[in-house]
Amino acid sequence: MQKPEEVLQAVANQISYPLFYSTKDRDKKYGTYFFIQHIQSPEFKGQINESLEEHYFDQMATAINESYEVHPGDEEKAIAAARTVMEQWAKAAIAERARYLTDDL
Amino acid sequence: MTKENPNLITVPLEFKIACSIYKIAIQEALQIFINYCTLYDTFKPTYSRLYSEALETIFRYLDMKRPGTAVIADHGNEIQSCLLAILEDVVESGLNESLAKKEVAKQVNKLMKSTSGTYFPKSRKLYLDEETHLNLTKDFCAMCELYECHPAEILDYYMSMISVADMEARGDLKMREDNCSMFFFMHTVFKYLLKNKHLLTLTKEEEEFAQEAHEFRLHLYSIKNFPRRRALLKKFYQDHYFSINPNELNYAN
Repeated sequence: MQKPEEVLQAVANQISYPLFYSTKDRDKKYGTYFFIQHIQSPEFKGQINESLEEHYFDQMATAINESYEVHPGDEEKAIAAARTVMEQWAKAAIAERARYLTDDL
Repeated sequence: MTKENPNLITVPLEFKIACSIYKIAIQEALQIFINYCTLYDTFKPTYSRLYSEALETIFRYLDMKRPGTAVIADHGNEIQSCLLAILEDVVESGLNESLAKKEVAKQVNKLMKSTSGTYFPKSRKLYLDEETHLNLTKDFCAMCELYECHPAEILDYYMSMISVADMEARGDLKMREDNCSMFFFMHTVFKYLLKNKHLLTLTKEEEEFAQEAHEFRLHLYSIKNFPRRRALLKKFYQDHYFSINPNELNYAN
């Protein structure tokens, strides 16, 4: 028997753009499929900064392609390269959100 | 547009793909479009769902072909009087719609007798291949004559406006849609599918493809550039189309 929170944790662990866009394995994509569907649905009330999104998605695609060129077939390395971009994206998103606080300083 | 044979239709790949996705025969899809083009609606000042979109397709084509010129040229007294009578029946007589349509049909008959038939084939048939043909309605032929264009030109333009990849890329990126032809296609196809409910039952392969297409569109979430997204969707649908119609691939090459 598995606890509900363990199932949810397994789903959450699979929600990952780096994994989703690096892997060819369909079975590893379901968590992120759900996530992408959710953020496009009317129930999703969050705000998405589209220009940041576009910029970092492009960066991530480049990082994954370059990684596969240097290390053909190495999924782990591609995921790691994509994660570096995700970290920059997260920093940029937080800075953007805090701008209204820092702008008037 | 000059063609060696003005009655020859060239069906573009994206139109074939759209018909294949929605399980409608090319002939059927084109026949529906022809049937929705009426002189009654050309003269009617108010909007009629789908009839107006079909006519708008014709007018956009004419505007592209001869920008800014008067739409109906001088066609001699007999035809002019038919047109005036139609205008009266539709706009001024106060007749109800079905009576007005009957009156217009009489005028269209008269009009057809008065025209020389320069722009449509005498048989009022347009062949897609040796076995299949489209029936050109009197309304459609009369319009071709009045607007001085061949039926195949209008149908070629209509088909060129149909692209599932374009529609989905715009829809997913929440872009404004101003393609009346695509609107017409989708709405008439859904009407057709609802009438032919057996087509709504998917085979195992169709179900698999629907799932694959759904996943592919979610995958494209990271592609925010419209031409790139459209190109990827186009390739996706083309690959699938050629995989189920390998003969077409030989033909395309």
